[in-house]
Amino acid sequence: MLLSLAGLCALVAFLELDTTYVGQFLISRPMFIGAMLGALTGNLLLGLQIGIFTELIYIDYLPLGGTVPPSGTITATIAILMNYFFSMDIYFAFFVGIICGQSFAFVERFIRDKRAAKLENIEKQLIKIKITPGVVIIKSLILEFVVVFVFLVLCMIMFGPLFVYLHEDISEKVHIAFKFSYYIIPWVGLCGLLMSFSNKPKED
Amino acid sequence: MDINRTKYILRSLLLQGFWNSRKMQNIGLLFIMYPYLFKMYSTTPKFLRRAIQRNLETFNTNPVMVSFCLGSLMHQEQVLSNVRNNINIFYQQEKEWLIIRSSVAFTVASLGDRLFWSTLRPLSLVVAFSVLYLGQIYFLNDTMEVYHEVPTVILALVLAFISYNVPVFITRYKGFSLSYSGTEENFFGLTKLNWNKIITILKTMGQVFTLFLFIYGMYFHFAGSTIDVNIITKISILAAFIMLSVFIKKWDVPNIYLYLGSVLVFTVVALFS
Repeated sequence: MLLSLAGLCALVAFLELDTTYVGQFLISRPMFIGAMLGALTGNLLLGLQIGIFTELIYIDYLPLGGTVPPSGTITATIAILMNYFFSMDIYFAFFVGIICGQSFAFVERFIRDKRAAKLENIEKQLIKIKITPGVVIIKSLILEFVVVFVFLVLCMIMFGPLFVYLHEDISEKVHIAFKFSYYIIPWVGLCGLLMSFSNKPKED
Repeated sequence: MDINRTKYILRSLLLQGFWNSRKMQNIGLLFIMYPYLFKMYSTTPKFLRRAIQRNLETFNTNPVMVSFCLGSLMHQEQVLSNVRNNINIFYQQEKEWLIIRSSVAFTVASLGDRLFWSTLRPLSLVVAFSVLYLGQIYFLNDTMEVYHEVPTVILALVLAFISYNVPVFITRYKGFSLSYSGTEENFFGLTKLNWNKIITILKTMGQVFTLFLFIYGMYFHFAGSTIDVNIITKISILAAFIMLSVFIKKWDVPNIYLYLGSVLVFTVVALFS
């Protein structure tokens, strides 16, 4: 189990680089990641659905300027892996995914601040031609990969058993509450999608 | 100077490779420009160091549209290199270089964010949704019971990928050529296209298709249901949340808070009922 968990997390951590750092081909978008993980874990449609729901719920977030939106990739991954490894109901696993996706935005902000703190020293070395920008970027990508991988594995190892305990312990009525909240996501998301195409400029 | 476009466009894929909260994409920009600067100032290390320093200033633009900046920046570097023997003109041109750099980066960022992040990205999602619906995969239902789904899913994903990445690829290539051969008068090739018209057309298409998906989805979701208390309650709560979603947009509140709010409200109701 640990080996396949580590493998899936490593694959996602590698693809997650596409979100900001390499290319931005959108192969890391939740819809693709969801379908891929769904296919790998034997439930393509469930993975696809999680991916689509994640896209729709985060449709309002745009990675403009210095903003760090919650990670849709992390959300979809955690939701699918929680469902696969801990047999957690998908409406509850999605909620856990949302918490992890939101938390990752703080981690990402922290990394960016750390890079900024090291920037002066790196710039000095670049101007003296002691290092090349290629080396700086490769190191940064490796660090990002490791951070995402560790974050995913830790979320699964730490939150997995905790949420499984909560999941089994809560009453049937609360399950219905989570289920109904999950049910409204695509409709609310489609509204968000429709409004994202608005041509009207926003008022200040 | 001969420029290998493909090489610089490939390097531009790593523009955000060292994204930092202080100078944003500055290291990424230097990474793209590095071979060009080396070639240009290979015999004058002093000017090379100055060029590196110049390129390490704060830089932030849209990663797809950066090709529009690259052509103009390389063009300006060429101008600077030609006047390096006259230090007064060099300093004057260098100041101009900085102004051009920030104004092009700002304009390109604004256009690129509107076109790629706010329009093409959601539009590629709509493309995928349309294919899924045509293949009878009703993803809006909380459970999807469909067989023979794999080809449809693959087709939907491939079309979503193409509908976003083909315009991206064209913009990267054309942007580089247009900006390198462009002048200040046509804002380094940027005014050769009517960007606002393109964005408006794409957004209108997106609105029409999404509205269609919404109505079609509603129809399939509730078609065949018998009208009873359960279904009326379900429709009423759904309608309330849809209206709430439209309403909260006025304050720029993201939908995620609506979801978290609904989890909280439904849980409280469930616990106390």
